[in-house]
Amino acid sequence: MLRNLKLYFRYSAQNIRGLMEYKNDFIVSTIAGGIWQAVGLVFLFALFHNISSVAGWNMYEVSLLYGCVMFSEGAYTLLFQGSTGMKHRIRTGEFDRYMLRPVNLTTQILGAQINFAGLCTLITACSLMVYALRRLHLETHAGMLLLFGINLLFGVCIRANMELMGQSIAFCLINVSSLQNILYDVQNFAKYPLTIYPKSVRVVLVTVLPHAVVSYVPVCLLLGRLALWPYILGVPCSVVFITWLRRLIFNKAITKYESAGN
Amino acid sequence: MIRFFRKYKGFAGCTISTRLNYRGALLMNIVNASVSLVASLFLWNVLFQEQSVISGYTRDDMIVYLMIVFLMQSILGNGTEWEIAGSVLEGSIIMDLIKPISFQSRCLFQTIGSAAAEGAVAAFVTGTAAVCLCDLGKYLAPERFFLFAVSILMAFFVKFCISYLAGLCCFFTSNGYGVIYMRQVITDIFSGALLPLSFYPEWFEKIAKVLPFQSIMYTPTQIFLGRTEGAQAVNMLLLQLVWVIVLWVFGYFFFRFAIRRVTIQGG
Amino acid sequence: MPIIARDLTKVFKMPAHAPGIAGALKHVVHPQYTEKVAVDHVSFEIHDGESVAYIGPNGAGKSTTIKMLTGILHASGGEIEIQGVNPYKDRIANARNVGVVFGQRTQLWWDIPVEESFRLLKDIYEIPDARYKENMELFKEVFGLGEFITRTARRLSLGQRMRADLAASLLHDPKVLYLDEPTIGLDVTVKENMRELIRMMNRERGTTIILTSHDLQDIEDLCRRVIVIDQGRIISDVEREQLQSMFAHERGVRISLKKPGRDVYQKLLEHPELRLEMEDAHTITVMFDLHIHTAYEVISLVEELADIRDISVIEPDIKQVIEKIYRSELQVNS
Repeated sequence: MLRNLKLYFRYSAQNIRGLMEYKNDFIVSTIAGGIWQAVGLVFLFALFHNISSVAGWNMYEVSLLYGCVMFSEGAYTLLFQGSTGMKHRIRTGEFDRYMLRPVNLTTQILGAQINFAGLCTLITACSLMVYALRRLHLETHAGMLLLFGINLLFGVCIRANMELMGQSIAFCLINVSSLQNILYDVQNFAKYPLTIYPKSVRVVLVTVLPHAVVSYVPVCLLLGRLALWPYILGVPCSVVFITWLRRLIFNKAITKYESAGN
Repeated sequence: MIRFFRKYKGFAGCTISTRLNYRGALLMNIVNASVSLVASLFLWNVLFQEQSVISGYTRDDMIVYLMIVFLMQSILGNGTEWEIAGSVLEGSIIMDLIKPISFQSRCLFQTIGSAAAEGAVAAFVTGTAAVCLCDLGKYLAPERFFLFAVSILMAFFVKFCISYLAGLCCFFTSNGYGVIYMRQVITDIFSGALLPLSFYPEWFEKIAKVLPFQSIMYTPTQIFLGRTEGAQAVNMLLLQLVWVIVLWVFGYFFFRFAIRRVTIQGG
Repeated sequence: MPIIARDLTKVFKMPAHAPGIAGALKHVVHPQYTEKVAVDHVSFEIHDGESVAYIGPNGAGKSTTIKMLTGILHASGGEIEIQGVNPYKDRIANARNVGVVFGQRTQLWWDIPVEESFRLLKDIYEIPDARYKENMELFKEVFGLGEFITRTARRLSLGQRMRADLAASLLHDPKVLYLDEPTIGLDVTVKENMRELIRMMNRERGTTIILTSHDLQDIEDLCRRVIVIDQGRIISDVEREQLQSMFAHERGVRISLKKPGRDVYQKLLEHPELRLEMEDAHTITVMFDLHIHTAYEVISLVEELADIRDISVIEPDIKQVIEKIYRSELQVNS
């Protein structure tokens, strides 16, 4: 574990060096990452310009949901963007190289690329959450805030697992870009209170695609709409479950790898 | 004119048949786009339970609005830009320069091809969804529908011109993603794809209305929903036409400018 | 410990469905596949320090076998053991023991200086400092790695890149080195340079070499044993010299005459068992079967007809032998 972590950072350090080769690209993609988030924010603010609440949640509360989703996306893009290029590497046989290294495959995949577009997203997410928390004047325990912070990290973990699950399918030589986009777009569901969806959608969002655990669950905890004990019982289970599911799918998929060319 | 059409129609035809060959991908694209649509339908559904009119839109208005936006976005994905960006960045644009055709027209006809293929599927999906979800009949008046069809056509040309310009920007940066994402964000916000323009604060709405982007989504939706009628609608169509001409001419000169840069630098 | 492959088999499954949406949907409900057997019950054993050429025509299953040995592909059947490790059950342990060079694909990082790539490899393989330094010195000396080590892989010429790639695969002192078309597209000096290092590793460190190549010079220079595979099956597995002598009945002498030898050529045509070729007016090449004639007999024959200025003997080389095997002119039983 420690070795994997160390190697991940070594890989990432190299990636940064590589990025510096193309300074213009690096700047443009960082800015583009920030601007991309503007769409979400404009929607949020313009919507609440006309309404006062969504299913009983005011703008600042919904902002927290947005913030959580954006945080996981930003951190994922910044740190683990590597998994997004998997499809390409599998199709061209470049993945061979990963198989030849005495390093855990997940570490290699996640460390294959970093993308500074995520940095802007991360900053936007944090600013939005801080702004919302101030306006909400919550009288929460500092421990609760700490727990909320830890949950943000869980969110990144869940996010990475879901992405890897989506990418695994690329090993079976199916064109996954649409599927990936679908998985990506499902995160939009997590930007609003879970109560606006029918039961079946809610079940999916807390189990197989636990986007709700990234945003809705911790925000409810923070706002006092969820008691502490179901949180403490539920969230770790969810993280463990999705990690287990990802490993199962990934290990199965890897046996289907066919390399390419000769 | 006929000769011009004959010369380029092959490009449209080829694109249509390529798209139809990848029917699976075509359908997946539509399914993919529907995910976000479903999320926003749930959201609006809840919002309209709390109040019946939001910023002048009823529930049915909003559903129809979302469907038209969905349709327009399916017709005009960002394929054009990726293609131009690709051929500029890989240098295969050279192959276009040595042929006796206009690059701009070639791109247009390819875009028409893909729009025809994707538009047919999307029109079917959105049409069905709209019939199921709301009382579509009240919006269907013949003369209004005619104006709507014209405005969609114009919207297509405006969107093409903007995409074309964005694609050409790749002559000046080697980062295709950045340019295309930026174009997409700006179009989404200012065209009304994100929200009807009347949802924005007044100053913002005013800015949006002087920019060309509103021709893409805002004009067709307003005409279909009957929010602009008669002379006012015709005026909006004329405005679209002006934008098409201005942007097309600008695109023409921008290409010449950009290509000179490349040929001087030796690509 | 040896490399053991027993009944190694790889079957690729390709989805077979009727064209169109209907066909694709039907495939989802009731999947049907066509099977292609790329490697068919291949067995061999390679001992430490051996140097083996694994050759065959295009599409014979060479690369597929190598990819199974290295743990990239999962075998459909059979067993593999490399240094006591099953390469895909214990991929990481196997990866530490082996080095791989793919001639057509670099394993260096494109956008960072070669030096940095090497340092990253040092961390990945946990190479001790002293060993790392020693190896780098060696590569700099044999390969002139120092000249281009500060450049990014993207900016290297093919020759430099391949040298860097070979060095990268040897950095961690692998016990087994797989070379898949290592010299493809390289010029003669670089080829020779690479072979020199490979030979050195094999001789001095006892590195097991497994090579696939279409360049027969590679095989002659590097390998003592040759396994020939065709259509997924091993058709020959013998020592290289044995292979050469077993099948090269044919020898040749190249004779230059003092005077133009058109008439000599005409006279020699009376011996139909000889294959003749006039290289120029003074030079005749005579190919003969060792079982029928000796070189001495052939030379005497010519000497009776004309004055000889010079003679050279043409030895059979592996190229002719392998070309014959590929053309199925030779049936080989190991």
